Amino acid sequence: MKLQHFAVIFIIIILPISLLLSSFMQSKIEEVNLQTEYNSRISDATYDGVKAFELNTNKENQELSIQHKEKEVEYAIEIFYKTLANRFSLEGMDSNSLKDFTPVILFNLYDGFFIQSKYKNMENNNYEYGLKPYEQYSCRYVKSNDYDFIINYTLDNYISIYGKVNGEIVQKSGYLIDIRKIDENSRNKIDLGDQINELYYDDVKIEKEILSNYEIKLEENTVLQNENTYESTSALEYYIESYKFTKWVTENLNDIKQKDAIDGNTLEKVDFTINKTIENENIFQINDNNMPEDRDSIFYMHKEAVIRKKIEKALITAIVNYNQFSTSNYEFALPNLKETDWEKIVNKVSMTSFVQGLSIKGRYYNSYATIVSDTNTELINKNDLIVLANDGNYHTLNCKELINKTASDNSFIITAYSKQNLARKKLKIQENDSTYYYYPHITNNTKKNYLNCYNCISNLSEVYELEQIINGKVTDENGNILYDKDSLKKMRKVYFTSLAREKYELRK
Amino acid sequence: MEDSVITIVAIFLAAMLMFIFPMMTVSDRLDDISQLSVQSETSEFVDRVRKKGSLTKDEYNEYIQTASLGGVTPLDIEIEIQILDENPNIEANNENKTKIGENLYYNIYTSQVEEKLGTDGKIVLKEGDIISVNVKNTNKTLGQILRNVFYKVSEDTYEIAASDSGIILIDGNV
Repeated sequence: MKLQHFAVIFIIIILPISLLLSSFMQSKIEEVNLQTEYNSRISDATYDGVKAFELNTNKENQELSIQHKEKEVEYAIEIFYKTLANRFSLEGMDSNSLKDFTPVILFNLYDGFFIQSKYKNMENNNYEYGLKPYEQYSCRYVKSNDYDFIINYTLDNYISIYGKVNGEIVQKSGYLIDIRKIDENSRNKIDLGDQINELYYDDVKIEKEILSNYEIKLEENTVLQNENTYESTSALEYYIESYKFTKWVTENLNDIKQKDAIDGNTLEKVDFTINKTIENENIFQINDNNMPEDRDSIFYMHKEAVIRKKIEKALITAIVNYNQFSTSNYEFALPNLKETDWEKIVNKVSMTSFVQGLSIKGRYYNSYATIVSDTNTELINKNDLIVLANDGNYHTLNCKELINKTASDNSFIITAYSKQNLARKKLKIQENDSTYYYYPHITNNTKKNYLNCYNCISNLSEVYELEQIINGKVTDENGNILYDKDSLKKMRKVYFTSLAREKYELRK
Repeated sequence: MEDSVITIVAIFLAAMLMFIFPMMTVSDRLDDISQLSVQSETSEFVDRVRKKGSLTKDEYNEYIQTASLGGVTPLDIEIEIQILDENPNIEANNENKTKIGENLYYNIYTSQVEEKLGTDGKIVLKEGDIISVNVKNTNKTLGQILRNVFYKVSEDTYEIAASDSGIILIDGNV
């Protein structure tokens, strides 16, 4: 056989194989690309949903009722589908066809969560998409005949208790704090029912504050620009009320343990998914291992376990039910949520959307996206506090420059507010069709808006650890003390006062 | 005789292997690059509008120029802006207190956007409006033409396509 024959035979054999292989590889690459593309589309749509929720709720000044929240969540989900449909428009899918691929959407708020799924409308026997009733992060505890009560948890240290405690029917709610940190003198006075004007919390003096805010408003057809000064006792009230509540809880629920939790429907002991090691620990006994405001306290761990169990159960039920109603051949199942995403869900207001059953190159897509809401009126986190300082800048609490200047000049730091309280406000006047925008705080001397500090807010490099400031001891890498409790006194005062004020004034 | 047939087959195969296949691969890659560029330009354009809350004539023209690689790939660009009727929070009527407004949107499309940009030079948007952009190639690309010579799977319409959309994050009217 000649050389050409070999060449031709070789090519005839190799060509189809290489073509097949390359098309197989190509389809695999496309599959991965498509999966990534879908992931980003879903997280973009979820982000838009969260943003819509923030835009709508942040403009409200009064407390939102559950019905109101339900409408806002419905609107957020509507926006989610709108964006998703825009992103999938090239695939020829609209909001309605995409709904078939979203078996469940979770929207968790401060003290409970909404789930959107398909359900059977008993009035007309049709299957419809809609929100299920609001579910709270609740857990029932039963111990002997004297204790049978329910606790509603929230994303922070606020709880509500109702039911039979110590043989009596009670209904109480409040913040759990480490009451050992309040000075003994003030504690005695509060116990005796005396009026107090100041107290010490963790060696920091908490007292009445003088605050000011700037606003533009319309009065009798004239636009007024005002700077108001007012007194606030919210921080003091927070500590007094929390002390009373926490004291009651520690006295009455001292030996309640995680193992006393039972399922409200089956009356069986709850099998928690996480934090099983604290089964026999007293949840409400306050000691060095259990300071309710700390993330690693027993109370916090138990609360996270309750919230997670509650959400997990609701999601699994919703997805299992969805399989009965679904017209698709795909079997819907809850994907494994990453631990980092669970952490977001149990600690922050967030939206999680599950998208499943879309065909990607012969396989089915099954994933989810969790997006956290940072500025909302539901929850104040200690990291959300922004400090106003005399240099006309916004700072974070752990800003190196802020701490340095405050240590030498106590009046440098003014006070702190939550991000939400500092957001730009809008005043629209219908009559002359003009819109005013203003920030609720202006600097005293220049009467200008505050700017972001370059070292901490714009560029996160020049900061210390926040925990070190709260604990009153800032050290460098070698462990040398840079600032002690004394030089951080004003910083800690602003922190404890502002956080308490913001929490107390939160709409509940 | 046999030799010449085999030589013709060999020449044909050689031509395929040396010219046609590389050309197909290269044109396919070219399409991929165009696709990537169009997608990233579109995302960047939409993101800019979302974060600025406004769209100017210059930005729009620049986007069309860069997305179509300076006119190399003629593109069909569809812009849809959904404008939220003020105010989303106004209660619809007194009888139904729990209902928060209708969240009504009215849409403006590419021709209206271009017309408005032509007359005003700028479109100002507000928080809650939605912008979406869909882009497709109009003419067949080299990759498509070559592929159609050898095999025609279905009537393929476009090779380069991108879309992006999102809610406006800030009032552009400052």
